[in-house]
Amino acid sequence: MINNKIRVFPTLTINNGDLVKTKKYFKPNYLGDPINAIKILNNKSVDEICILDISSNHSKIKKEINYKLLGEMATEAFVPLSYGGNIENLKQCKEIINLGYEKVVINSLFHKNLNEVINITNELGSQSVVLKIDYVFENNKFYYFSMGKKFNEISFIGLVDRIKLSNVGELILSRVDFDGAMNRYDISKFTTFMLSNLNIPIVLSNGAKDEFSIVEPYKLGFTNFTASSAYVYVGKIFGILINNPFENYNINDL
Amino acid sequence: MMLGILNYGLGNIKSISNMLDYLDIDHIFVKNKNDFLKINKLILPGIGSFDTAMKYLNERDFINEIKHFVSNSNNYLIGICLGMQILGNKSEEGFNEGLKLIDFNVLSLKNHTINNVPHMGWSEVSKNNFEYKKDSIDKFYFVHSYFVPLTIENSKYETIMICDYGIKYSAAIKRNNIFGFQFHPEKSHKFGMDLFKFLAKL
Repeated sequence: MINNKIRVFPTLTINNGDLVKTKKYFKPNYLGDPINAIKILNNKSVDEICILDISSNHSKIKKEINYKLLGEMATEAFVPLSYGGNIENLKQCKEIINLGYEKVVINSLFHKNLNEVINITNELGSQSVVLKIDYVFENNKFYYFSMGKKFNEISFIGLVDRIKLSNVGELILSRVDFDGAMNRYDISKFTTFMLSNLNIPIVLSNGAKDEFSIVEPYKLGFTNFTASSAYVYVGKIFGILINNPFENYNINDL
Repeated sequence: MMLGILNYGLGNIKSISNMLDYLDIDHIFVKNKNDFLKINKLILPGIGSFDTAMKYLNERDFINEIKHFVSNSNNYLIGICLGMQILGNKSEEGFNEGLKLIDFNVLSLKNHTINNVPHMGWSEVSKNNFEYKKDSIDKFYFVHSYFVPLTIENSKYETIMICDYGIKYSAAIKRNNIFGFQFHPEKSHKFGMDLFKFLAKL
């Protein structure tokens, strides 16, 4: 049983209807059928599942939200669900919630149309809206991603103000170059700044290897984590096996 | 006789139905008065606001049907989330009267806890004279901003599960053939499944 104070959940990435895993957000590796993955994770008693559709990331054509697949996945999940990918307006968010999802995950929309995000949080409530920020550091400089492009014209405090204004209920921080690395979470000045300046759950994403990856960030006060590779790969040769490495550990034992 | 899920336009009836399907528990969606004759257990779901729920029940003429159904002591009524709150008299959330099947008033979490409202997420609950299974740990998924207080002396209901969210309140209540659960068993994987199995066997 996971320690009450700590929350860890899997993020599944979907590309054109397939379950995939990327590295640094590229090279989607085909893993199998997403519905089957949800069934297995259910049996492994994960407490929550986040589903991200990255189809548009690897295509020149903007993809629509795959409501049919989302509905099918919801049918197999007896846990809270969140969905992100290609979300542009409130109407889409309502449709996703109606399919049985508890939360929507906003990403580029936050950077390009803050007013619509405010509409969404007003209508659905903060607790149903999650913001995911994709970022990297290059030459010690912070860049965030929007619509697949890099930007750097915002300060950490500027970002904090914008997040407060958006009224989202949760923040996922995804360091792009850590994706698929299975090494460690990013506990840089950026993630710790967000943790100390925002009053909402801050979820570390990207880079987890196994349950031990939680120890260092936990000591700094991080209590919310999501992982992908750790739930779908095992061993040194990255054998595909959907599993729950966080099922039976206690932070006090680590 | 079967279990029914009341379809009155509020609440995630599909999620509940999915879990019952998974557990092989026969059930129907109750859409009209005739459907009440086919069931001996009724799940009253609910997501949204207190007044909207009562308005929808009223518009569909379900209020008297529910009261009639529960007056037969062989039947069971099971309220989930908002469906539990509308079993009471009234709520700080709205102006409409509840079903008044159980004597309590629903209160606002904001006025009683320093924790974030809504209370959204997994919380452990403690059982109170409700031994429906042996496990010592019970945790469930909650999403709510209003709550049913703990039973006090002379209350006409029992608090059978307690949740502590900066204030201790009723995570589940019981009065005769009526149950109410504040959390979402349909989103609480094995814990929710154990609960539905128990309810199906009543």
